[in-house]
Amino acid sequence: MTTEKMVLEGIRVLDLTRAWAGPLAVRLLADMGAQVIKIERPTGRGVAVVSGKQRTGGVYPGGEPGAHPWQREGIYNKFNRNRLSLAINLTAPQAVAVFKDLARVSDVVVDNFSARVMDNLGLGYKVLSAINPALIQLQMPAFGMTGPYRHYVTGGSISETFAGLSWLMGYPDRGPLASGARICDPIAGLMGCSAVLTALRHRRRSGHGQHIDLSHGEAITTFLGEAAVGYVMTGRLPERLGNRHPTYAPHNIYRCRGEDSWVTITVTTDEEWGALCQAIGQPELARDERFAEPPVRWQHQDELDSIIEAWTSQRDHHEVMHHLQRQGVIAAAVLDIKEMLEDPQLQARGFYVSVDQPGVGPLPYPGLPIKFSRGQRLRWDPCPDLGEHNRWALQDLLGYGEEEVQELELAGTIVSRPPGNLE
Amino acid sequence: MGLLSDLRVVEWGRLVSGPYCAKLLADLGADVIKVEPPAGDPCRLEPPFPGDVPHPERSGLFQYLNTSKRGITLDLETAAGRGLLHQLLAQADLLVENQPRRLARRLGLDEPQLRRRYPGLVVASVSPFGRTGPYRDFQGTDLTLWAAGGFSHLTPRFAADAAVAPLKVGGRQPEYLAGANAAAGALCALLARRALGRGQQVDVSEQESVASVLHGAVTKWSYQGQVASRVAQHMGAPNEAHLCKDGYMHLQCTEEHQWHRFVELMGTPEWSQLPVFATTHDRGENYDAFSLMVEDWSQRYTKQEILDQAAAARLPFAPLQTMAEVFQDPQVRYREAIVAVEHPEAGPVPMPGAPYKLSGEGAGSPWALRPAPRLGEHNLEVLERLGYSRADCVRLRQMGAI
Repeated sequence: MTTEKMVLEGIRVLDLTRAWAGPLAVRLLADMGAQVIKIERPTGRGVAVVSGKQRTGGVYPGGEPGAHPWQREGIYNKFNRNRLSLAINLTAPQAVAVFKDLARVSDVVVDNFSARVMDNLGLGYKVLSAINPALIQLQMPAFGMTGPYRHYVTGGSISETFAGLSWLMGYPDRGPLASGARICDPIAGLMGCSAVLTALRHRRRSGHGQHIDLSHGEAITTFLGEAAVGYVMTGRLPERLGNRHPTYAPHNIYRCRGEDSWVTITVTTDEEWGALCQAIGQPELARDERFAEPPVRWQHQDELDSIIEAWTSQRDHHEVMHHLQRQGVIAAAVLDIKEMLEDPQLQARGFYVSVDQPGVGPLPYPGLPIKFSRGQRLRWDPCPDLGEHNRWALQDLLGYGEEEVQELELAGTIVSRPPGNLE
Repeated sequence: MGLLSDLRVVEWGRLVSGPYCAKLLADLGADVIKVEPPAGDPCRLEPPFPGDVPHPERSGLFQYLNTSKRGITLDLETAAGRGLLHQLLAQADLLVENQPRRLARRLGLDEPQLRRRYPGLVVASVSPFGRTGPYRDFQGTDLTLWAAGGFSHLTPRFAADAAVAPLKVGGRQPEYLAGANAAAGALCALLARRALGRGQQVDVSEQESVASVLHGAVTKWSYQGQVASRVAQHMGAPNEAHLCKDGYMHLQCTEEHQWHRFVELMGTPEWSQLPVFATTHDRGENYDAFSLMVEDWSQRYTKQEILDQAAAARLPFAPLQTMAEVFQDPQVRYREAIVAVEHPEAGPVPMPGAPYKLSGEGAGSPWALRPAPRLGEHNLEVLERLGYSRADCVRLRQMGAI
C-alpha cells in the first residue's frame, strides 16, 4: 500500500443525489479520492419493505432482500460506494441548520432534485454562497434550472428522447428502437463531474465558488454534434442506418458460430479493405469491381455482408476478432456481461474492482474508466449503511455535543435505519 | 477571460475522442493549440458537409469538435517539425493525444519518453482499448467499441429473440464518452499536480468508457447470476416509444399510480380492472395486445397534444424529437443550448453550445465558442510566440516542417 495521495484528496462533497445521473457524477469524484458525505433520506433507498411485501425492481443477492434490504440492493451499492452516510430528514427545521453547518466546511454540494426543491428547503445558491463563498454547487434536474420545462417530471429515458438521440437508433425502414441501457444519465453524470472539476480549478486561482446548472438534454445534445450540424448543413435529418455507416463499407455486425454470438467489422480505408480480403482468404475480392472503390463498395454492401457472414458464421467471435485485428482490420466481438468480466483486456487493466459490501460479500463492480498513473485509488470502500456516519459527521466533523446529537436522534431528524422497517 | 484561460494545452488529436476532450477545455477558455499533419486531421474528410459537397474546411464534424482552438500544421516525420512540437510542449500544462501508440513511440512522443523530458506535463491519452494490456494496439470504431464495451449485446431492448442482431446506438458515443472522461481526468490530474509534485498520464480506454455506462448488467450477473440480454420481456410497460399522429412518443409509467392516471387520461379507467393489464408484469406479458390498444389511443393525437395532457397529469411522457425539432424546442431555445458559430469558410454554423452553465462569481461568459481553425491558420502566430521571426517561418516552411 502506497502513501501516495489520491488525485482528489482533500475535497469534501455533500451528495444529495438520487437515482443514476447524480450518484454517478458524485461517484466519479469519490472514486478519484474526494471525501463524500451522502445526505440520505431516512425513508431509505427506494427499497422500503412495506408490511413484508417487497418492492419490485431491486437487485438483491440471490434475489433475497433479507432483513436489511437497504444494505443489499446492488444498483444502489454500485453507485454509492466510497462514501460516508448521514441519514437526515431535510424537511425538519433543525436539519437545515445542520446542512448549513456542513456546507460551511465543504467544497461541493450536488443535487439532482426537481428545480424547485433546494430553494424550497432554503438551500439555494444564494443562501449557500453567503455561508461559504468558495462553495461549488452543482444542480442537475433533468431539464436544467430555468426555462419552460424546468418543472416537468421525468423518468430515466426522457432526456434522450427530447435531445434527439432516441430518434437516431434503428433501421431505415422501421421506427426508432430502444437502446439496451439508457445513456442519458451517464452522460449527464460525467458532465456534472467535469463541471465540478472545472469550477475547482477556477476556484484555486480566483478563490470564488460557482453555481452549475446542468440539463441532461443539453449534455446529450453536445454528444450529437455531427447530427445537429448535419441537419443544418444538408437540410436533411440523419438517416437511421442500423449498424451501417453513411460512407464506409463493410460496416456491420455479423453472426458467428454458436448461439447469440456476433462480431463487428468495420472497414474505413482501402488498405483495411485489402487486409480484410486477405484475412478471410479471398484476396480476389480486392480486385472485384463491385467492391473496388468505397462508393461502389457501399452500394454493394448487401452482397458484401453475405460474403463476410458466410466466413464469420463458421468461426468463434473471439477468434474472428483476434485474427482480423492481427491483420490490421478493425473488429471486435459482441460481448455479454459474463464475457466482459472474463475479457483479457479489461482484466489486464483491472477495470472491474472488487468491493466487499457488508451483507453481500466481495463482488466485482465497474471501476473508474480513467486510469491515473499517479494517485489512483487502491482501496474501494463499500456503500455505507444508512446513517452509518451520523455521529462522525455531527460530532467529529462539526463538533456537536452529545446532547445535541441525542436531541436530533430523538426527534427522528437523524436515523440509522428506515422507519417502518423494524421487524 | 474564460474559466480556464490560464491553462495551456497542446492537442495532437484526430477524429473524435482527443479533439472532443480538448474542445471541452478550449470552449471554457483554455489556450489550445491543435497540431495537425500537413494533410490535416482526417476528421476534415468526415461528413456532414454543406450541400453534401466534401471540402476539408467545411466538415460539420470537424467544425463542431474543434471550436475555440488555434491550429498549426507540423510534419512530425521531420526533426524540425518534432522540434517545434517539443517547444510547444515545454510551455504546456497538458498534452491531449489519441494517436496510435506505435506511431507515438516511433516519433519519441509516447508517455514514457515525454515524462523524462517534461516531468510536470499532464498527458491525456485516449485510445480504443487503453494504453496497456494485450489489446493496446487494437484499433476501433464506434460500432466495434459499442460491442467490446458490452452495450450492443443489450440492444435493441425488448428484442423478440436472439436472432435479432445486436444494434448500435445513434451517433459516435464511445468516442465522445472517452473524450469527456479524458477531459475530467485531465482536469483532475492538473488539480493534483501540486499535491503530487508532478504531472502524470491519464489513460482512457473507449472500451472501458462504454463498459462504465451499463446500468444493471454487472450487478444482475454478480448478485443474481443473470446474464442481461436484449431478449427480454417488455418490462414495466408502458416504457417505450409508441406511434402517434405525427411521430413517436415515449410513454412511461414506472410507478403504479402513474398507470392509474394514464388510464384516466385515455378515458379507459376500466383497463386498470382488467387482469391482463393489472401489473407492469401482466402488461409486459400481454404486450402485443397492450401496445395495439394504447396506440389506438395515441394515434389520435399529435406529440404536442399528448405532451400537454401528460404534463397536466404529471406523467413523464416525452416526444422522440428529430434534430429539426430539437432546434425548435422551447426549452432549448429558452436556454440557448444551440449557438451559431461564424466560420469564414462554412458560414454561420449552429451547433450545440454549453453542456452545462456556470454562473458564479468570476465565471464571466463561459463557453464563448470561436470557430474551428482552418488548416495551418495559426502557424505564423504560434511560431512568432515561440520567438521565430517571419524569415525563420519561411525557412521552416521550405524545410517542410510546417
